[in-house]
Amino acid sequence: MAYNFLVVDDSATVRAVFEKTLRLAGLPVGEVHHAGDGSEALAVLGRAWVDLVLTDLNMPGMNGYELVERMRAEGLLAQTPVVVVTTEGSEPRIAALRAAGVRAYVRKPFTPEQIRETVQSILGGPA
Amino acid sequence: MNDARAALETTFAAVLETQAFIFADPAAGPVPAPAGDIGSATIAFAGDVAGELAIFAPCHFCCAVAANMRGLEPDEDCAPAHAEDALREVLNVTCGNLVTALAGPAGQVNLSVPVFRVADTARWDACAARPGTVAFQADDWPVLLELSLADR
Repeated sequence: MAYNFLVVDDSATVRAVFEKTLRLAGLPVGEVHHAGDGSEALAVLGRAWVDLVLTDLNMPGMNGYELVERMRAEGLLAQTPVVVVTTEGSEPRIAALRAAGVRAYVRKPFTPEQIRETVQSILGGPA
Repeated sequence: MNDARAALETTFAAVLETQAFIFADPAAGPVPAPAGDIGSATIAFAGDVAGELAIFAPCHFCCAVAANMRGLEPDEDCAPAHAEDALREVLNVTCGNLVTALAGPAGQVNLSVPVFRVADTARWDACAARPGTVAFQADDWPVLLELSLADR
């Protein structure tokens, strides 16, 4: 089975880096959907099956905090693992994200290895 | 302000190296405005520390950052949207790490969304002359970062 991903960041450059990293990670990758903010992400989640969400926090429109809250409030979406990738370094906020169900946190600037290891730790090792 | 300046120097160099494989050092002397187009971006922050961070850089630098982040050849065509996006992202990540360094891990600071603007030689020169500005030499390109901290 190939895994489908949703990458959420207002930077198209960062989304491209996410997708390239995922496709080189040694995992079976199917679709990599892109969204520029939380609203676009929810729209994708409403029409596509997604196995893992990588999201930024600081975005125009609906930010990453609200996206996580909205996902946790929706039945099936609450089960979808979320990895936050952000510049945010505040320990209280990271603890709050963990309490809200975020599975992992990667701080920007990130290396492709950090993304790969984090995703593999959640979905399993290379096929 | 000296601590903030030192933190800015360290943070920007680390972000640029990790994110775009470009090495930056504080410039040894005055940095004249580069030839060609100049891009600028600003981001505001509020909370346990407050203020604004701005960056000025030649558009060729922005293209190099975009290409390196995307894993493309530097001489491939550079879309202006990619260059602007790359400069905003470098500023965003620099600012996020800088305010964490200044506020400490227990601090809480909210960042605005970075805004890109086309700049010119006059704006470059004005920024270079202000006391909160740090000039860098980033590979072949000059880059200015201006930190303004609000009085508390």
